[in-house]
Amino acid sequence: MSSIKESIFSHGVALYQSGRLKSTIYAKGRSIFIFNQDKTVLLNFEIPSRESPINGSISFVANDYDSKNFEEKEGKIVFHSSEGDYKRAKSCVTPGKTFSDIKDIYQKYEDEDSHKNEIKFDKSIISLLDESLSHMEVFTEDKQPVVLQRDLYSGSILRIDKKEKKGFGLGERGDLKKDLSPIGIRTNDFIALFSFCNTIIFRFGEKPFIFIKGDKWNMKGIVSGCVYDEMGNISKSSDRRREHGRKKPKIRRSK
Amino acid sequence: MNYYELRKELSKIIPRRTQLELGIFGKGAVKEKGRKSNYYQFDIEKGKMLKNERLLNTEEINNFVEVSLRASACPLPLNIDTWDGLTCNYGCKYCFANAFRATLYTSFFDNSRSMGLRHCNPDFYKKELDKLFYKRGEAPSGDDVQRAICKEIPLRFGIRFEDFLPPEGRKKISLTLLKYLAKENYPVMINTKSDLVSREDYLKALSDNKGKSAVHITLISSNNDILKKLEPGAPSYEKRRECLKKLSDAGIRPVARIEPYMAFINDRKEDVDKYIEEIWNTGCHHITFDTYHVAGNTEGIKRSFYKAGFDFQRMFSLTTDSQPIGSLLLSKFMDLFRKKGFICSTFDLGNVVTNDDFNCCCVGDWFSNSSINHGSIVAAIRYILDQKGEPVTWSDYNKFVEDNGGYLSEDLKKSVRELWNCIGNRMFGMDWASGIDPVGYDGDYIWKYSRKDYRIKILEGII
Repeated sequence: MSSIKESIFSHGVALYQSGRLKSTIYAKGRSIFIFNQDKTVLLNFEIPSRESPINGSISFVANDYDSKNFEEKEGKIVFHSSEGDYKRAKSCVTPGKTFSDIKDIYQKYEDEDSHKNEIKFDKSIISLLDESLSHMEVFTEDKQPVVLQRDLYSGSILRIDKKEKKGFGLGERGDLKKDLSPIGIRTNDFIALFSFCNTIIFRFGEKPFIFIKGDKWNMKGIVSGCVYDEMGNISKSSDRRREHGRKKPKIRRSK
Repeated sequence: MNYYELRKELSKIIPRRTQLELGIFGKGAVKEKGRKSNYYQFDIEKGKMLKNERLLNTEEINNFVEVSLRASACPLPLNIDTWDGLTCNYGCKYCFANAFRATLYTSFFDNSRSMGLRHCNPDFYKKELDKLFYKRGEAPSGDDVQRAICKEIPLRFGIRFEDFLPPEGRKKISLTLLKYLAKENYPVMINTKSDLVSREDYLKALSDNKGKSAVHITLISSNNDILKKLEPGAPSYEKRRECLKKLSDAGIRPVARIEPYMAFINDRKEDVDKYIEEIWNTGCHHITFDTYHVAGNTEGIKRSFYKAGFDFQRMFSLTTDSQPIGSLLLSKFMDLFRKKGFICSTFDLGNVVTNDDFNCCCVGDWFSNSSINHGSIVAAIRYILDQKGEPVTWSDYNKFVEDNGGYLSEDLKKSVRELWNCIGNRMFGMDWASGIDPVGYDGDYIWKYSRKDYRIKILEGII
């Protein structure tokens, strides 16, 4: 049976190869970070005490992961494997940033944590999403979470609400202190998170980044949100409040 | 709803991305393939090691005048390019030709990195053109290029490469051909970002041409900060603006090009207002527009935008990927310029019926009406429009084309017929044109100008 860290690495590879989340992995001791190349998702996992920690600090592009036996050697990471009479060593370049660089980024966001609004999503929502639409919009209406996807190509709107009483789709409501104005999440990023966990709590705040906490492998993380303003540049998720975001969603309801 | 109101509505539909950290992993747009250098392989037959290499002619371009691959849609598809290189020095982030060429050359040739800039041999070009010009004005015959020359479709510089980079100013390769074309009175069009075309000798070669000359200056914004990020090597806004003025003063048709138009990037109100005022004052009163090209959706180009700090995904989703919405945005954007009096046209099929000029290059009144490729989908849309709401069959349109010199080739006729029937290249299908609806079928679709705008329905659905 594979260890938790192997499972995490393998999921990282699978997500990379599917194109869902191309990422780099950074690990040291009992902590693993997965940071995607678009810099919109940063996940953190804790290896439980029953498993051995990782010696030293390692980092590699997720797609390079080749075997559970690896070592850092002369600035490169080398994966060792064998078959029959042969053995193989796959040597890969390490990414520019180090484990401690990534930990610092993560820490900076954690220090800013004033996120109070929680929504719990479970994996079943994925089958209701249209993966071909680049974004999903999350907000609350009467303290109930709503997910919206708008199809620019056909003019249709896809709306997902929590079912009455039963937790199908959106799961439990979570802890909503106040109504949440719309925030966008890249559909790909959202779906990728559920490769690791079945249920994830999303914690929203004033700034366009979201804390997440999964139900497996001590997964925590930060996802950068998308904002509904009239600018065309890329900005840092921690830079500003979402005051220019949409306040009240306009939804055409069917009669 | 005006442009800025529509833009505001759409800003609530497709959001802007933020990142946990700025910057992006990976390289830029130009993806060069690695080839083995100094690679020798043992040849069994010859019994010795042989060097395996394929070399590009770095001294001279061998290809010649061509009819564009887009001729089934384009009314002016006759291209001639005098310069070539691995990458163009202007380094425009959105240039898919740069990325394509660099990938192609580095994949297939071992000396592409040392090629620098290469150019044609003008004497060879002149000799070849002499042969083609022999049949000018006659009933079109021969291959597609010969037919285009018979119809006197303007020769267009600057489609595959920038033909007016600084070395041109010293070597005068394009100039030699411009002078030759002026002597022959053969109509000329130039697409460029260079202000070299407003140098005295170039102005003279262009204005001396009795067949007339038009110069399209690509200028996507009046904001130099944006231009520096997206077109780092190209001349400044001021230089290109001055160039338009000199062209206008010299009696050459200047056309400003906002191609690509990119929502939320080159459409800020203050930049657009400045553009409208200042470009109008140069005497340039014609502008062509187009949305961002679908071919520019490569990983490398996306990364270049992100590195420059722009949200490619938002722009692409709104402007290109959702063809109807992008087209509608563009129509409202063009209206801003129309208010001032600019003659506006676009190759965007959604807007062809509202183009101010029969020709999407804004030169329909400049060159002879017979000097266009009538057998193209843009011309077909305009033909249907001219029938003022009467149903138009393929036979009707086909007769119109044959009466005006025919198609440039049988293959092209087949392609245009496919587009007429909404098969083949979906980028240019007749059904993309707003205001044109199918009203019957007689083996081919029958179309009619209905004024209905299907794009509005889609917009109403998402807002």
